[in-house]
Amino acid sequence: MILKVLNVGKSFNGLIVLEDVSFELETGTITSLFGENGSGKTTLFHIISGFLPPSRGKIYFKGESIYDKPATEIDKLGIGRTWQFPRVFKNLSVLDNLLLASKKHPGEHVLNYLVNPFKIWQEEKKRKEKAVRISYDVGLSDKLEEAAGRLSFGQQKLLSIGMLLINEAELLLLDEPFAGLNVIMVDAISKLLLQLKEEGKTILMIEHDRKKAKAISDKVLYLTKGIIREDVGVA
Amino acid sequence: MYAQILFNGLVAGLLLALVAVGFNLIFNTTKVFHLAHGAMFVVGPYALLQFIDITSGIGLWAWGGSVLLVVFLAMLIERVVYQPLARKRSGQAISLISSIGVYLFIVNLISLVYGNETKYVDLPLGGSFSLLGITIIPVQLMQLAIALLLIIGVFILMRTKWFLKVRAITSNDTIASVLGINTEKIRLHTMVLGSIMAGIAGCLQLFDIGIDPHRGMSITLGAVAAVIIGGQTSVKGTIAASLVIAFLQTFTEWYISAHWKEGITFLLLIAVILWRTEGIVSFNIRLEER
Repeated sequence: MILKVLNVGKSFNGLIVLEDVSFELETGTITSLFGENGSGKTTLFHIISGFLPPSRGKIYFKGESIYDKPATEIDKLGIGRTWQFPRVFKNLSVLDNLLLASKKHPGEHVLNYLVNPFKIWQEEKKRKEKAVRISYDVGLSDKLEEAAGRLSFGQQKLLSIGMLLINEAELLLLDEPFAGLNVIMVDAISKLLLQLKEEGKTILMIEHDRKKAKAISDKVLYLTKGIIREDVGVA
Repeated sequence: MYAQILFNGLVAGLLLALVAVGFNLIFNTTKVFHLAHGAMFVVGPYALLQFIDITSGIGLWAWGGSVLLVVFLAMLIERVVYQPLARKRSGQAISLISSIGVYLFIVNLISLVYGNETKYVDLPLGGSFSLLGITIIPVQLMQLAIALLLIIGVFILMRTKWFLKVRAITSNDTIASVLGINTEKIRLHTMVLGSIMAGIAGCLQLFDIGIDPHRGMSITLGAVAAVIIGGQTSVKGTIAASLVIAFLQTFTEWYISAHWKEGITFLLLIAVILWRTEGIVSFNIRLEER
């Protein structure tokens, strides 16, 4: 088990959004999270990824409590997320977007260049090679030098998934990965998600297109009135 | 004659580029229209004058003291004025007014302490000499060498991951924070780096035409024009535009009148933004993403 959410609740000024949410995710599986608009799906993502603190409950990632950890720390532990509208740097190239998402560059500190420029150069070269490899995985290898703002909406979604992969996230929280995309793009993302599952990544995705999501999911969670119900073995 | 104008324009252009690149870095990361940059242009030379007095000579201590004072002041402005305003999500108009306030406060303080007359430092570098028909003052060679070194330094910095983070914040500081980039730290870095560049440019002018407390605003306005003409996010565009502006100003000074040089600069600015609102160097992104 990679993620355990136990009796999580969230309310805003007395308005209860999440009543009592409990579920577990197994490593290397795809889980879809369905629910009406305003049912608290994105709030749940905010809580798991550390952008919002829960009002109560417990959350464990690989056995470690992440209940009160900030988003940047949770990100470092291996939980990455995308947003309903892709958050990419539109003025930067696809390659620069991927490089920025990869953490802990020795070249972040300018003084390191003066102390050991050769080592930094080698390290940066390795990271660039990795970014190029990931661009192949997400189907953007021919767009590496293109500004992200030139990509279509679907390609920007692929780029945001690539940005999670370069950061070696183990659990991917994807907010509506199929929304607003044409059939070809939906197929491309479905194929990528199945490939990531084969590689051992765990995926939890919010999706409104139940048919397409169910087709690739191992488990489906329904969030209704702040409570989770689950169906197993839908794929 | 033309060679002389080109040489003078090159030296003036590189000095303007130092101020403009500094303004570019600060503006793009902090989103503050940092007119107090003009104050840093005069703080550097006045601090240098003070440290020359204290250390009885223009050595490393005097230069170091001047740079340290500029760094301290830049950090103070960022921490006490700009960052609190950014945390309160105040708009650009508020930060612009604050910046003008900071500029006036610093310049008035310098006027009060040192007076309004122009100050010079005469370096013992010898008299002018002639080369290929160009009359060269040794101070100009020093200005050329130091400005070039600093600009080369900026180009090296532009190849680092640190600068990629600067570009990320320029593009979208919210996404940068989501990705774990410490935006406040990077803002502080660019504020310090940009101010050092302006301060050193001011010091270089101290050895040539001299400096007075109010000299910073006109060069900062020239720098703003260079940043806009060159394309707001492009350092290379800013340097190229600084050179073009300086050549144009030198030609104007030579053939028309020194009084016209700023007017001509802003005519060029208006012409460029009417032609390309985003400046000469810009990113080609989808219409709906702009």
